[in-house]
Amino acid sequence: LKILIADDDPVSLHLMRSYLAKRGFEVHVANDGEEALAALEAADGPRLALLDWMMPRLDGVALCRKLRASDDPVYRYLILVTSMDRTEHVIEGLEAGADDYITKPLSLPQLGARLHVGQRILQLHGELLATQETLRVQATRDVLTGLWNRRAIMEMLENEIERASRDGSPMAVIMGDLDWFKKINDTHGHQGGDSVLREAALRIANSVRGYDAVGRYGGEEILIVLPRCDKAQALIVAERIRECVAAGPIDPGAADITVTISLGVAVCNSGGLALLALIKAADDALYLAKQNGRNRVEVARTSG
Amino acid sequence: VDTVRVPITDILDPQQVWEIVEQDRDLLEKLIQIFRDDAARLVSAMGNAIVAKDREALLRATHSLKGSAGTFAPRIAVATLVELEALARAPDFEGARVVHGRLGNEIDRLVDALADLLAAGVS
Repeated sequence: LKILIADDDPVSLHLMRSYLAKRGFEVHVANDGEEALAALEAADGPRLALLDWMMPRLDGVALCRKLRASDDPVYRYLILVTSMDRTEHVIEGLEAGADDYITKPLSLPQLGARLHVGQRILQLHGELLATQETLRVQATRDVLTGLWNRRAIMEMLENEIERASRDGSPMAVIMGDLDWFKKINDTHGHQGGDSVLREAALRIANSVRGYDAVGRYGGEEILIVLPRCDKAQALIVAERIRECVAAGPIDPGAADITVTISLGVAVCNSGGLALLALIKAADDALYLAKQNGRNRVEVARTSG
Repeated sequence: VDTVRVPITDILDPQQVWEIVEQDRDLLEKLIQIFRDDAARLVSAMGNAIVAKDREALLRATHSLKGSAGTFAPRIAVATLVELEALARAPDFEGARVVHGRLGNEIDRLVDALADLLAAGVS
């Protein structure tokens, strides 16, 4: 574990450094407050710090205030280690954002015990962030395919329509629907159907541009949002998706299954279409693709 | 001139110092060396601050030396430094000059006591 010591008292600094190095810490040293701030704010910088109060350029208390005012989600556990031993100093230090306060002369065993507290808090914070990330993924991703879920893709579409309207740039949506999917489910069971959906989703995600968004709109319906994309580019992407999905058999277990997809493209040239109108236009084009024999791309006649 | 060497135990607690360095002789030797150099610098800085009647500089140097001296001898040298800190805060530069005058000797005695402790080895 990395730890930062910022102390201009060379005796305390050397003593703490030796004590912590013997206990397996990776010790980083700063000679003043500004140097300490830069080390703590660096990507992958120490998250545990022992800070002297009185330091050149930026004192330990001001350093605590600066770090706590930052909106960086990374939490740093800050311990003030100082000879300022009056009660009002302790209160001021803790109110400034220090997590703990140790007075000099140093008791190293006490320092060690307090560092264990810091490590526990940092571990809990890490677990909290991991849980938040899991919940964020669960709230925005489709469990089966890993694509954006309906709510997330609709939100992205809404944002993209707003952006296109502001910029006056074109954008497109593609609505795709796997052909004869009910038959696949009836023949190979729901597990077979799920495997087909997963593999088709992967193929679609690999066919779009890096900044396009792919979401599961419904059962076997996929919605793709294409920012800054005109009709010609949207058609190229849609055709690539169609080819890719149909490219080879999808193998859910023992049986080989070939699947195709029909796609409807709708283009919004200057933010002229509302969200629901754009979805409906893509849906109508998809219906046309189904009517015209499936495994094909159709473009909506209306464009905003 | 014969000087009477004050017993170590009047200045510091040998057992406590060895505990602080976890019985590490090399570490103690290094700390003494660091302390000797730093204390000389700070005592000199205090003298300059008193002459210049610079309250902040005097407070800073006193505070800093209080931290490092306190590592070894919380009882003796620190008491003088606490007194000097109060005079700096007042500020009372004349009083500070008097206390500063005896601080140099106290620091020397502390350094000698530490050297004797090191020579005697871990008890």
